[in-house]
Amino acid sequence: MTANISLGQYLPGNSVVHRLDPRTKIFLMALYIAIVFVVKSLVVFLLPVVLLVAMFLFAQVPASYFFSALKPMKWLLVFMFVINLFATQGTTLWIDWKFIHITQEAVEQAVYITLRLVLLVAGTSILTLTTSPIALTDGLEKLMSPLRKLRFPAHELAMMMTIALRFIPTLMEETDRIQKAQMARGADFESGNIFQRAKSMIPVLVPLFVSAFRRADELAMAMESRCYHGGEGRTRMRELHFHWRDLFATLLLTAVLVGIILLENLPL
Amino acid sequence: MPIIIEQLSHTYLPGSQLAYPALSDVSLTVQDGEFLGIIGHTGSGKSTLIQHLNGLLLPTAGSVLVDGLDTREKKLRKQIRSLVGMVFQYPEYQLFEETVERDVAFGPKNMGLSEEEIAPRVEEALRLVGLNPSEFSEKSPFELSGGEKRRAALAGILAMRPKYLVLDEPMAGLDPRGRREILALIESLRSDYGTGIVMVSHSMDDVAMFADRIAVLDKGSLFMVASPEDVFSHSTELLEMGLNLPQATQLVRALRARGIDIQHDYFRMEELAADLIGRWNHDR
Ligand SMILES: Nc1ncnc2c1ncn2[C@@H]1O[C@H](COP(=O)(O)OP(=O)(O)OP(=O)(O)O)[C@@H](O)[C@H]1O
Ligand SMILES: [Mg+2]
Repeated sequence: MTANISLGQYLPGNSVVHRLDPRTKIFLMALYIAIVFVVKSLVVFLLPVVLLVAMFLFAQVPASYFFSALKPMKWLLVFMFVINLFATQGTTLWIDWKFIHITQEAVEQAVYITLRLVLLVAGTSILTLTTSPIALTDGLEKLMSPLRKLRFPAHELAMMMTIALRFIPTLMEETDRIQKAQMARGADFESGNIFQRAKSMIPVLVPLFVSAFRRADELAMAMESRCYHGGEGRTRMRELHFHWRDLFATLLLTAVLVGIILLENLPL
Repeated sequence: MPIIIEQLSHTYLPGSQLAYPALSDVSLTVQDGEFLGIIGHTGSGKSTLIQHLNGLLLPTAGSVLVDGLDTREKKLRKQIRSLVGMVFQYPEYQLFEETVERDVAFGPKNMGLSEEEIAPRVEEALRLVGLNPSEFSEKSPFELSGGEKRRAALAGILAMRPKYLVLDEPMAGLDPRGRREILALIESLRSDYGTGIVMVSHSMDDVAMFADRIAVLDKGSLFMVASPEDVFSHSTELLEMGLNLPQATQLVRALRARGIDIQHDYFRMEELAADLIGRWNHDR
């Protein structure tokens, strides 16, 4: 049951996008988000849409992942669309029937907002689809490392993220095991009202915490006995390197962003 | 009435890309009061099989009937789980209550028994596993030693007075003395209470010593289920599956390889020793 959820959604592969430096990809995502937000008119919206399609193609991610990225959001999307459709004030009335008034501006607004959300979610899913969690934290650590001058614990934060990611599947397996052991003793997690159910989780949570603390302790001990002492002077097994493709991708997206800003602001 | 497993198949994550057929077409009967050993290489499906015995896992195909009760029936599950006690590997990780007494009482309480019925059961279970109730009842389970924790956890199952006791490598991680004590306890449950025992073990000597019958799993299929004598006479096949042999069987094979003619396939050290001593006396 619970142990079967694969964490994140990394899709191993060897496409150009997979091979981009994680730092580049994080930066590109920031650019992409900026692009999605500066777009204002319907025609210009074509650009980020094309960009999204291009990203899926270059990353060799099957289109089905587009839908699975949106799936958890589907109600939010519907909700946003409907709210904007009815709540936006406008002048050009399209539908005027009893208490329902829908204006042209409202339709446009609803479409923009929904499209923006879709673009954001689907686009950023490319980052997690093509970057392993470890590479992602590595990239984040590197990007944050200038902040160390301000005593910001970049390395420690990244290490914590790595460890947390590493232990999520383990803890899920453990939960499954403890749950089964208590079910074998007649524990019932499915019936009763919400309070009874919350209470029925105690026999699972207590052993789970005990074991999480034990694991944390053991891990700390193992790390210390291998002379781990934080980020200072630590070298890495896999160094991150920028390549031409990183520069090229960055230039491309920057150009798109600048282009869109010009398009939206020039009086055409 | 026995536990009847018929043409049981189990697939993990069916329908997904990760679908994994862990058991296929296993038919097996656990008789009342018998000691059934289950052996098999790592990943052969032993744990998957035994979790079907009390409905923690449900068959993808086939059926499991516990005393005639189908594990797929949701209504019967509570009843099935009080009939079949299940001791997982490292059962001490299931302890959660503030006191040993309350932890042991968890199972009987879930069965809906009254306080008056529970108290004697808890005391009896603690005595069975060798924890003195007056000393241990009020202790926190987390301040016990490793071996004591395991016994406390075991008592938590025994307090439900199961008709069958299913154990997944119950001796893992114990010292030799702890192993012997747990084995002796399991043996006495069977002889004194008539509890049917199903035990998964990696120790061939333990199953050879105690089991009436042994089921051999190989890559999710039942290779054979037979008396220890029959099973260990297939030593070549067992070795090919990556299994060990009991020490006595190993010794018989080594002696035969050196040209000493031993007809009988011994699997218990005492019997082999008696045979060898007999020969030695005879030769003199
Ligand atoms: N929750 C699960 N999801 C997916 N696959 C699983 C799951 N549990 C077990 N498996 C797979 O099913 C197969 C059989 O597992 P099982 O735990 O029954 O083996 P086992 O015989 O008990 O092995 P061991 O001796 O190591 O305990 C293994 O290949 C395992 O990877
Ligand atoms: Mg197992």
